[in-house]
Order: sequence, then structure tokens, then C-alpha cells
Amino acid sequence: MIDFLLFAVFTGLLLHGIHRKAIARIQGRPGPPIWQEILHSLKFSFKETWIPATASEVLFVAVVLVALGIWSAALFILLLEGSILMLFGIYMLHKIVEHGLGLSSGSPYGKFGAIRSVISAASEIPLFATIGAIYFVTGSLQLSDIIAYQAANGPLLLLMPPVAAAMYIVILSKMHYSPFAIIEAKEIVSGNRTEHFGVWRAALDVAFSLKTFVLLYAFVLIFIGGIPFAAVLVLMLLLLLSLSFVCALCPMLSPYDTVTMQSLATALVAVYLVAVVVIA
Amino acid sequence: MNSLAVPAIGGAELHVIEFGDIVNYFSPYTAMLFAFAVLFTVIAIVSRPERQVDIAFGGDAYYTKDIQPEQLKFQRFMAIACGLATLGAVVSGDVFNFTLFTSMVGITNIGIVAAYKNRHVLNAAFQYGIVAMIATVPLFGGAAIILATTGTLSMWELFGSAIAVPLIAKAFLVLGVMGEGMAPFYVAKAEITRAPGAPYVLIIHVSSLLLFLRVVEIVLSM
Amino acid sequence: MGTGVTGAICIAAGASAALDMLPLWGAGLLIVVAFPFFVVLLGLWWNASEGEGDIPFIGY
Repeated sequence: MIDFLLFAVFTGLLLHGIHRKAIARIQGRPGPPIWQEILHSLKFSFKETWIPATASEVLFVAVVLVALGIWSAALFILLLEGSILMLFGIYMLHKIVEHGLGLSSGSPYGKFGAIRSVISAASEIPLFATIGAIYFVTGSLQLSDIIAYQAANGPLLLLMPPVAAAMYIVILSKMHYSPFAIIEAKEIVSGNRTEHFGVWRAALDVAFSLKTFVLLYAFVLIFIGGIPFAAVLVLMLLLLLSLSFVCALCPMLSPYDTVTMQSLATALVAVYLVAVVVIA
Repeated sequence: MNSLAVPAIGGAELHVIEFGDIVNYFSPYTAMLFAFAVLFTVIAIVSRPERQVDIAFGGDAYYTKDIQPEQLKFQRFMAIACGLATLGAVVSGDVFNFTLFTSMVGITNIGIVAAYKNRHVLNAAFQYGIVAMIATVPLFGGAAIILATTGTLSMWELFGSAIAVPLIAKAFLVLGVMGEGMAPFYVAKAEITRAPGAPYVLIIHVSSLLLFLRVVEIVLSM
Repeated sequence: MGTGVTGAICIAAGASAALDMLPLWGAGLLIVVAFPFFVVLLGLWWNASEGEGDIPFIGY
């Protein structure tokens, strides 16, 4: 299990690197080498580290540990083919991590990031709609049952494309450089991560790489189903490249536009859900 | 006697705690939510608040906002109360207890920031309070409709396939919890989080997210 | 010290799950608790730390 966790960490960091490289190439820049994010995390972990004098010390450190803990847990839920309701729970708890990161330091930029993280809470609702739709169609939230259902009836991606699109938006809103990434926008320095430097930053990079790995892996398992692991990795890479295209070509939205877009996506899924229920 | 309907989507029942007819239970899912609520309540108990840095306009000067000890004590008390209410709600095996704890979370959320004398924060807390109070109508209404149509509030009965819970009751429950601080109704809550005292303010957010996660499980199971 | 202990817990949990000595969820739980501490303590062990706390970045 620990071997898979370490594999996921390094693959996740590599995926972040590929993401940056793809964005750079699309925008006509050379971009950093794809292993840059791995080197970055190592570099940050060697740097001088302290807790800011104004920070709430316990919270400042605890959110970093929580971030690592919840995404390792999420990875194991996928590995053991557990309940996607728990996965949904962990995704929501990530919100608290974002919030705690920003508020704990006392920095004004962190605070702005945290407040933006609260108002972009609309990104959680499409996921709720996704879970509801999957439960309605497959009759279970256990990942093993969902995979078995897809083995019998074909991938959910083809059965319910709007639900897959909703989850795609959810993943997109958590990517670096995404049009929805208002919480770490450059006009507020690094948003909620501004004050977490050095070792804290390295640990957060590890946690966020796990997050990227888990979200992409979950998308493939939930919407395409049980295929060999090598094929899963290839599909994750393709999914990531499609996300990179969106991130490279879309400007970052303003906070209110972000919320509007996410609410519209939720409304569309809700309409689709009602239509499915009525037809059934 | 107490065994949850199979297949319960929160996982198999692990442990039941009975206080007379008030029954709480742990499934893997509620245990996870419980652990998270405990974690953040403990953080609120042990950590000192941060000192928010503000830049004096038009210069290089900055100052930090310190929290007075009396205010700190009150904020911490309210944060712990909020954490306890969340703990009660996430492991409750009874729809009415769940709604009761949910409304208590709404009240303590206002309490956490009420001691901070800042016009914007207090205005936001006032507006949040109005939304939360209005939301208690569908919240308790949902529980009342469930009791009126099925004759029970126990989740052991409701999660079984024998009892059909009306859709409107489920919608009311979700609406009620969302009114305590979820997506379309959270507007005032964003301003509330400007108040200093990060470990305590964070509980506001923890509680509404955990309540939403719990209501999702309840509504999907019923 | 802490780095070694938490790292050992992670490896032991992974190994005992592989040898069927521990249920998978139990090993997962151990790793979920130990791994975050391992990552942070590892960084704090090998970083170049001398400094005192400073005030947050407030702009140029």
C-alpha cells in the first residue's frame, strides 16, 4: 500500500509537470522539463522553514497534515474500491484545508484566498449532483459495484455524458492554472498558499499531487470502469492533457464569473437529473 | 435489534450508542465525519488565534489585530459548542435530532463572530442569521412531514425499503441544511470569515460542510 | 527520530498488509495517520533551518 502511495505521489508530481509543459507548448513557450515539479518539491523541502510570527501555530501546521492525510485516505478508498460517497466527503473536506491554509497565517493575501475559497463553494454542488445521478442509475455507491455495473452495461461516460461533464468541471476547478483557480490567482500573490513556504510548501505539493492523481483516477474508474492499470494511466494522461488545453486557452475568470459558471453547470446537471427521473 | 438496512450507503453499522431513546451510531462514513469534527474541535481548543496583518493605507506601515482575552474565551466557547453540535448531528440516528443539532450549529456560528465588534462582520452575521432562521422552517418542516407520513423518525426504519419517504420531505431537509451555509445561500458567510480567530472561524465552515455531507447520506438512504 | 518512527510505521503497515497480517483498511488507516507526519518531519529533518518567525509578506 505504501508503495502505491509513493507511486501516486511521484506520478501526481509528474502529471503536474506534464500539465505545465503542455500549457507552455500550447502557448508557444518552451516550458520547464516535465520532472520540474518533482525537483520543486525536493527543493522546497530543503529550504529554511519557520512558522510566521503572526500565525496560529497549531492550525498552520495541522492543515498541512490534514491535506496529506485526507488525500492518502482518498487514494486508499480508490485502491480498496470503497464508497464514492466517502470520496465525495474527502473532496469537500479539501475545502476546509484550502480555507485553513489561508486563514491560519494572518496574511491578508491568504485571507483573500480563503474568502474566495468560501465563495467558490459552488464547485461542490456539481459533484453532489454527480453522486446522486450515479446512485440513481447504478443503485450503489460502492466503487466495486459501479465497476461491475459498467462491465455489464458499458461505461457510464457513454450512458450519462452530462454527469461526466459535471465531474470534469469539478476536476478542472481544482487544477493549477485553471480558469476557476481563483483561490491561488496571481493578483493575490499565491492566494491561500502564500505563507506556506519551505517544508510546508513541499508537503502541500505532495498532498496536491495526490489530489490530482486521485481525481483523475476516480474519473477513469467511475466513468470508464475496470480496465488494466496501464490503460488507466494512459487515460489519466489523456484526461490531463485535455484539461491542460482548457487551462492554456482560457483566461482566469473573475471570482463572480467563476461562481456563475459553476452554478450554471450545477443547474444543467440538475435539469438532466430531473429529465432522467421523469423518463424513468 | 439495531441493525441498519442493507445495503446502507454509509457502510455497515459499527457501533451504537444509546441514550434512552436517542440513538447514535457509527458507520464507516459517519465515523469518518465524526473523526474530522473531533479533529477540528481539538484544534480549536488547543490553538491560539492568528493575528491578522493589515496594511496601513498609503504607506509601508502594517499593524496586527490582536484578540482580547475575553473575546477569545467567548469565541473559543462558541467554537467548541459548534463542534459538539456538529458531532451530535453527524452520528445521529434520528432525523429530528439531526435537524435540532443542525439549527444549533446555525446559532453557534453567529455566536463565534458575534463578539467581534466590526460593522461588516456583524452585518454579515445578522444576514447569515436571517437566512439560517428561515432555513429552519424547511428543515423542521422536512422532519415533520417525514413523521406525519411515515410515523417514525428513526433512521433504522426510514433507511429500509419498506417505508417510502416523500420527495418533498427530502428536498426540504437538503434545503434546510443548505440554508445553514451551503452553496447558493452562503453569501453572508463569506463575509463572516473575515473575522479574526482562524481556528474558530474555521469551525463555521467545517460544521456546514459536515452537515451537508451527512444530509446527503440521509437523503440518499431514505 | 520522529521521521524514522513514522517512516517505519508506514513501511511496517504496508508490509503487514501485503503479508495478510493486517486487514487492508487497518493498514490504510495506519498509513493515513503516519504518512503526513513522515512527509513533514522528513522535510523538517533535512532542511536548512536557522531562522526565527517573521511577519507575513505584505507586498512590495
